[in-house]
Amino acid sequence: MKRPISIYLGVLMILLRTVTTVVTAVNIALDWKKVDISLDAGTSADMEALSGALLVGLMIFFGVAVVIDLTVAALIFRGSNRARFVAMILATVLVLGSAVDFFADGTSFTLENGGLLGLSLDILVLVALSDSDARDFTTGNSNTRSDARRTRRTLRRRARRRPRSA
Amino acid sequence: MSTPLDELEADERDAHPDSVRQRIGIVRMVDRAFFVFGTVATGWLGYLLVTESFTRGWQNLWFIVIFWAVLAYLLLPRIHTLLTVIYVPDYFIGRARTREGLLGDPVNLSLFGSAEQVHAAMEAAGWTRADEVSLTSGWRIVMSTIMRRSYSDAPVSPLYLFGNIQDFTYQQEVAGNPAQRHHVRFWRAPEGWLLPGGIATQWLAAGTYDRSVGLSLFTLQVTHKIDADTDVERDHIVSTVTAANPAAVVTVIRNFSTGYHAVNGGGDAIVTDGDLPQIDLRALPVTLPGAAS
Repeated sequence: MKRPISIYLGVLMILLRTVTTVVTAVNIALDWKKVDISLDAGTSADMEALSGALLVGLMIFFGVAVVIDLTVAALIFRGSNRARFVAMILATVLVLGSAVDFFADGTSFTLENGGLLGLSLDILVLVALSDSDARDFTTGNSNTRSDARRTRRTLRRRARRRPRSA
Repeated sequence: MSTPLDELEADERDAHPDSVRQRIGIVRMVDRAFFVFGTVATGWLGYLLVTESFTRGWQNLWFIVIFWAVLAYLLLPRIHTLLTVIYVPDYFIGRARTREGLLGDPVNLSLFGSAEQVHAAMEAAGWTRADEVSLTSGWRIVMSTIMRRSYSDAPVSPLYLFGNIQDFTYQQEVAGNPAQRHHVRFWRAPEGWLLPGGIATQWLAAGTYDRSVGLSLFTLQVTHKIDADTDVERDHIVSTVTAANPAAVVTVIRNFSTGYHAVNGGGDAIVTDGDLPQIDLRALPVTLPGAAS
């Protein structure tokens, strides 16, 4: 089945989301010196080592998120239904988290604080990937692939069971 | 004669029938849940955009544009899709339906013949076949609008009959004006399907005339407004086809749809005398591929 526009848009939104993740990570890294981590960890040398480890940990976390995003985007582009579900679940989790922030804690989502951009992209990813065209494209492709796998498996089983005639 | 693949698939189906169907059912339900949640989230996004544009004031008018885009192309279509599943019946009512399930152009033509005969007849009558919607055709539309060039094969929006998008569309440009266009969509009727009253048909077509560009009443999307008098377009199609194809035979089902016409998916009123012409193209000679013309 031809790739529908909603798949292109969904992948584009995921990539834009990845860009914002990278920008967030870079901002955190650049502002790290200004981040005041008041830890009761003894000498200042220890505190520096701890904050350094924390920075590395955060960067690894962001790095893993970026890798997951890119992998999922590539798989969706190729038509994987599972990847589409993974992306929708991730987007839903993020949107629900923002909703809790908004409705329970009264956090504001504006363009200045960057919240609105990230939330918009998450919602747009969800909308694009839950579109009926996107669903038909990935289920069609996944069905074709799983059918092919099943056929190969059954053929192998049959070949083993049936002795080859000379 | 069944192929080895058929036998394999039959074996698999016999081995796990219910579990497969159950899995598909659960997956579909989860998919629908995401669709509904996405709609709700879009509503929330629209609300955030509105409140944000109020705080920003009129200097950032572009924000209102983004709000309109989200409303027209994401939120309202989805709401209509969810509602029409509940409210609009799925049987044949003489109207094509938009992607959101709203009633679209009226079916005002019925044909007999093979696909080749229909193509031959339309091309002989001076109609050009429209491109399918794709990224390339969308790009060409943008380019032709910017450069004020004519794009005679511009695609038309999808309308659905029998649950399917149109099989093909024929159109005629109006003097290089992209806002005005004759177009007629064709759907192949299912095998053995009968029109209300029991009349057979092989193709159904909806022909309308785009008179201008405007906003849809239901979704606020930018769309073509069609001329309310669809009979003019219907008669134009019939006359061009019969003039160019002497072998075509036309019969008319009088008052086929007199009882039911109101507003199409773009919010345009439709006026018609209700007759359904049937064009029989089965006597048309079809040249075989590779034959000398």
